[in-house]
Amino acid sequence: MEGLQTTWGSLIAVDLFMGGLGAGCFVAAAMIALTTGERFKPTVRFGAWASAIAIAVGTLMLLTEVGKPFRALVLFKSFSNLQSWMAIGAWLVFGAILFNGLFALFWTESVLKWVGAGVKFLENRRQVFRTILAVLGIFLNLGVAFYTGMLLGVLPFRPFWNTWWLPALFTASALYTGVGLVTAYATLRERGEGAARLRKFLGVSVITLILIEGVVLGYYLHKMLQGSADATRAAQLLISGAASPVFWIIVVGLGLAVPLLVCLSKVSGPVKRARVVLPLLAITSCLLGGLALRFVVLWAGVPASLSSPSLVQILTGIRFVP
Amino acid sequence: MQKGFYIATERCMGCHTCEAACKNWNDVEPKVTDKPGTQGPKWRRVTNIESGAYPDAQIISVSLACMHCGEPACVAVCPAGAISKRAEDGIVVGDQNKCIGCHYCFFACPFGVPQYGSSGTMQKCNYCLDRTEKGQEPACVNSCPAQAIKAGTMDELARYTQERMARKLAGSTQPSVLISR
Repeated sequence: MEGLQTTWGSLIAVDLFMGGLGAGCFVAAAMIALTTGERFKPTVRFGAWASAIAIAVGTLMLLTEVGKPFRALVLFKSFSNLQSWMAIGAWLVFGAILFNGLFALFWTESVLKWVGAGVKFLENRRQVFRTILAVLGIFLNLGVAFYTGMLLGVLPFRPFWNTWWLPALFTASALYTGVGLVTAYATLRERGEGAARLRKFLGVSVITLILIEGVVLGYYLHKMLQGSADATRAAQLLISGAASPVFWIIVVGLGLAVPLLVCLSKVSGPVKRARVVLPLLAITSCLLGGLALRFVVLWAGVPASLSSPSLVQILTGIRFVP
Repeated sequence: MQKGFYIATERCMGCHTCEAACKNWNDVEPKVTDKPGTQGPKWRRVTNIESGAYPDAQIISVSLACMHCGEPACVAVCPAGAISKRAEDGIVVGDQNKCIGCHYCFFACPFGVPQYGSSGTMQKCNYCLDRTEKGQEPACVNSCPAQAIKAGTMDELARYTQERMARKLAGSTQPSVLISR
């Protein structure tokens, strides 16, 4: 599309989205595991597997976008410069795939029984291992969510990306989409004692995260509109430019407004029916919105028009830079 | 020591000979795809900058390549450590055998220097090291009919341009380029 950044395309957007989604799923699953023990085992297991699979799929997308994917697979060579956020992110993601996969295995009974038959130690102390993995994993996955924003946020000559508000926005979106997916699963799957309380708690969490993302997104755009001419131009691509239909309809409308209305109606109680349709509608909207958010942010990453103001100043004779 | 370029825009006539000589010497592919209107990578590019308004409008042609920055942003962000700054002359070079083609350097460079051919890896001006290490000039300098490009150490270039109102290009990455108008 005219005037938008397209060098990094759809596969990078999917990678950033899936990385965040996976991280959010883990945080949701780990929090449920830490607070309720084994009571909601299917939800924790779903969140754990979803987190590992989402991050792995996102990483595969990233690999197919680079020029030399097989070379990139040799991590210790291809990501050796740990001053680079891409290298830091690669190791975080690699660690998260293994870690989240291990956490998922600890919540999969058939695997535990099979392993436990040989290693009694693991079988006897599985709750201790689950707790340790959950606590450590929350920090690791928050790191993954934060990295998806820092990857773009550290690039100084892309004014729309070069702000701390971008990692804040992507982290908020990661938690919202991840918690949203686990909430939808719990709403559809969990029954019995305590399930209603869990659904209500998760519903309130999703509402809170929607509001947080909305506030961060609003303040981010406000800062950009108040910033340099380049940052303003980039923000206007979202607000009224080429990316505005996707931004307003999918990111704001479907991604934030629809799930907010669904959650409010569910939590406050006016809607008792539509037990399956509404959660499915809400999570589909939420995920589409989260994915579209990565697309529009990537599109708005246009370069600063005066990357070297002194070059233009010298050539147009406006002012010599000493 | 830091090597760099001096560009005399008052001499440049925008003939693109430097671009062609650079592509020819460094065997840069002319096209990546057969799509009409597309071009292959250009390690040196002649850009026309318009200024003023009619009837006092003017066009200035400026030939730019990698700035071989003092603090190159591309080196800092490359995850594979495939871009390095040579200690002996400050030239910024890319290693095609290490590059994974992630484009991160492209986004970090304020001048849009890193480019990608059909191999998928990053390529850019290497100061014609295969020529300059033998005491020859880079292909662009050697080919320019108007002698609008000069290569050398920044001290040599500063001495050479003392009388020419040349100024060093400013920027956070400290580009090693002098320009006169």
